[in-house]
Amino acid sequence: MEQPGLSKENKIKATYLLHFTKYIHWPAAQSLVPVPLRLCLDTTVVFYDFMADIITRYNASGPHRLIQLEQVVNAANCELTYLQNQVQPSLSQLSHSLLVVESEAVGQPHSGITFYTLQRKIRFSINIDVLAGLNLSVSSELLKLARIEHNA
Amino acid sequence: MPRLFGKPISFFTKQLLGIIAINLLILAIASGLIYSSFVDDYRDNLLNIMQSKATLLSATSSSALLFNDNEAAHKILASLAQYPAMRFAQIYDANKAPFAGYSRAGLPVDVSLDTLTLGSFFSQDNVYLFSRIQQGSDVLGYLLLSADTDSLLGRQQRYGRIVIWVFVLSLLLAYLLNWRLQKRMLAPITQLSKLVGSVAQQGLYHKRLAPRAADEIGTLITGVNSMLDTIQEHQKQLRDHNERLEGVVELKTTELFTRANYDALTQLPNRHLLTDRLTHGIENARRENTELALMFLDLDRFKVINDSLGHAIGDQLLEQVAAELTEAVRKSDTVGRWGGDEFVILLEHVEDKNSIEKIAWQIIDKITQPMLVGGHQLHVSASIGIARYPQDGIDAANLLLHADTSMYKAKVQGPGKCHFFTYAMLDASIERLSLETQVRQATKNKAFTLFYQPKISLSQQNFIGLEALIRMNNGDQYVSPTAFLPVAEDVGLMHSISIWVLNEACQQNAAWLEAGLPIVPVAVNLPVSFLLDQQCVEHIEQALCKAGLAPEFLEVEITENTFMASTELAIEVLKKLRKLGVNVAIDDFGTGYSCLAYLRDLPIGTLKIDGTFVKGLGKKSGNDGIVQTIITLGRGLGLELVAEGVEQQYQVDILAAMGCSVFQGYYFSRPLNATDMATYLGKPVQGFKAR
Repeated sequence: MEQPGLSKENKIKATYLLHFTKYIHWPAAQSLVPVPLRLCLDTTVVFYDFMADIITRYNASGPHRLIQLEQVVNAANCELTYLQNQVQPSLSQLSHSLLVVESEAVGQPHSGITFYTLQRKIRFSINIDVLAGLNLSVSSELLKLARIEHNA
Repeated sequence: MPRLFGKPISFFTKQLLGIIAINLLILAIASGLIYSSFVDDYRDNLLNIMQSKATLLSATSSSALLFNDNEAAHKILASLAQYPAMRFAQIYDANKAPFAGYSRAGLPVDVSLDTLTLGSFFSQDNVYLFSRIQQGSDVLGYLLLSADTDSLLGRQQRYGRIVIWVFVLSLLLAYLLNWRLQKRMLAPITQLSKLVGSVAQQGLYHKRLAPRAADEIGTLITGVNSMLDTIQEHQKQLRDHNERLEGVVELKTTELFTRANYDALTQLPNRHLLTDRLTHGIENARRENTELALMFLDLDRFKVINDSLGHAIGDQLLEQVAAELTEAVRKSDTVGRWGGDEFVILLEHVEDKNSIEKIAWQIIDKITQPMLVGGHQLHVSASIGIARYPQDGIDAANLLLHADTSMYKAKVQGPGKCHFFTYAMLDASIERLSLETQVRQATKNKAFTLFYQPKISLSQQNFIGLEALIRMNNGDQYVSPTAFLPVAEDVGLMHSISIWVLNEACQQNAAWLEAGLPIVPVAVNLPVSFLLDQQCVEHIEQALCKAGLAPEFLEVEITENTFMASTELAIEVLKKLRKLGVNVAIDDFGTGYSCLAYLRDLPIGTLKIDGTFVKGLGKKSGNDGIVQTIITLGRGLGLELVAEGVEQQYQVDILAAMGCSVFQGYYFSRPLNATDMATYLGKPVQGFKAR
């Protein structure tokens, strides 16, 4: 039963979402100054807040690439996008973004990572063709945990 | 010396054992270190492997932890199954709750997380590693690994076997190499040892070892060769020295033999050799059943000559006497010097007593001949005592003692006599020994007394002098001077007795003078030995000075024999006495060997006619003639004449008729002690009253 606030499942997914940034390598930005990884969300506010909270802590925890959290609708350009609901794939800010969908039920085309539940555990699948299309490098460690999929 | 299997351990064996022991120690230390190093390396390697696995597992399992994929973690850990040593592996999440695990069949996790600290450790033959699984600074979880140490133990055993083999082989190799090396290096030392042994045992100093390289052994060989050169040279010198020394020893032995057996002065056999020859002679006589004779010869008045003319003259006289004695006997006989003026003559194979006596008289005649010694014509005579084997003794000691005893008996009879031993002499000899003891005691205790006999002048009708006569008190009685004075002379006490007599007579006469008595000269008899002493006049002067007596109140009486020893010296002394004012009288005149010619020049004042002539007056015409001649001679020379031993009135008459005016004898007074003499001095002369 859904508790007030964010569910455990969504918390795990939020955490996993953060962990994905550790195993996926985005091409370097053409900038002299470090550019944060833009994580865009199209979720509930509760999820967004929870995510904002853990990203804040994450950014404060050490010398790694910072993550900038934004709403999809507000973002100009996203590198990683989490969708709880299907969105218009033609959004320009999502054109080079790795899409992670909450479940297979979202039905978002060109999604790279999709959460699903197996034996009451949150698992995820990775479409390596999508990631390859985005020119992303994925850690084998992550691939080892994921169900690998290809475009049909 | 230490032994090995019952045999002495040689230096080389000990050195070899020492080197092997050192090698053993070094090998043991090295083996231990190598083994320890091997084991440590292997253990470190094991830990490194464990650490590597842990690192790898941590890296590969971090994503599983992040995404809570314990299945993935299980798969990762399952890969450890290919490592048989791995006992178990356990992944814990950040809260140390078990996340995934692997375990070899049947093996539980045997450690508690509560007691674990990060790092590795060994426990119960297992190794454990507990580490964090991190991503950056985030602790994702923990990893616990455990592996058994069977491989480590296996490695240890293998290393142990290798080390033991290396140790044993090294030891054998060290032994063989050292044995070989020592044998090679010690070969010259063995040669040196053999060389030294041959030198020490056989005294062969000519052997040498060939020189070697200039190392320590070479230096040693060169040193030993050089030492042998030196020893060989020293041996040669020692041999030469020994030869010289043997020559010297032979010479000295001869000298020592000569010194030990021959008299240095006369070169005659000494007491030692004489005794030896006498012993052998007795043995021969016993074996051959023959007789031998032993003569003990003593020179008469030798002491007078020695004291008056000096030892050099005395020694020359002894040499001459020795030569005369050697000539007097057969070559087969032995003449030896017994000591002083005593000689011993050993006659072997003698026929009878007469032949012995004949030889004795030949010897006496030869000695009695005047001898010219050092410009002095000396008249000496000899007294000979004779003892025969086997009649008078069957051993050397007895024969010598008996011959000596006989010699004293001969001396008593007067100079130039010989006497055969009789056993009756032994008693006399004992008596003489007793008398000798008494004389020594009396001299020491001054147990002498002077008696005084007056000399009466017929013309002056009064006594004109006294003669001091010595007596010895032996505790029981007074001993006659004729008995003890010869003994005193023999034992050398005559000089001190004479000085005592001189002092006593002078002091007594002075005492009488001080007592107011009419004193007259007191005459003392001085032996020739005293008179010829170089300090004779000094002694007389001292006696007069000490007593405070004028020299004219002292008179010295001497015998004719005084001049026989040395006329010149005697005359010189008498002249000094006359010059001093002391009158000199010749006592017992007519009994000695006076040369009438020298009476003329003698510085004497009185002639005393011997009592034997006085005793024979009126009985033998020859005796009266001698007395008359003496009186005529004395009067002709202006000498005072004193007749001694006058005991009868007719003797006074005859003597007075012959022209003698002074008398001494019992007819007038017997010798009186000092007290009686003092009384006598204060009274008229008894003899004249009687007459």
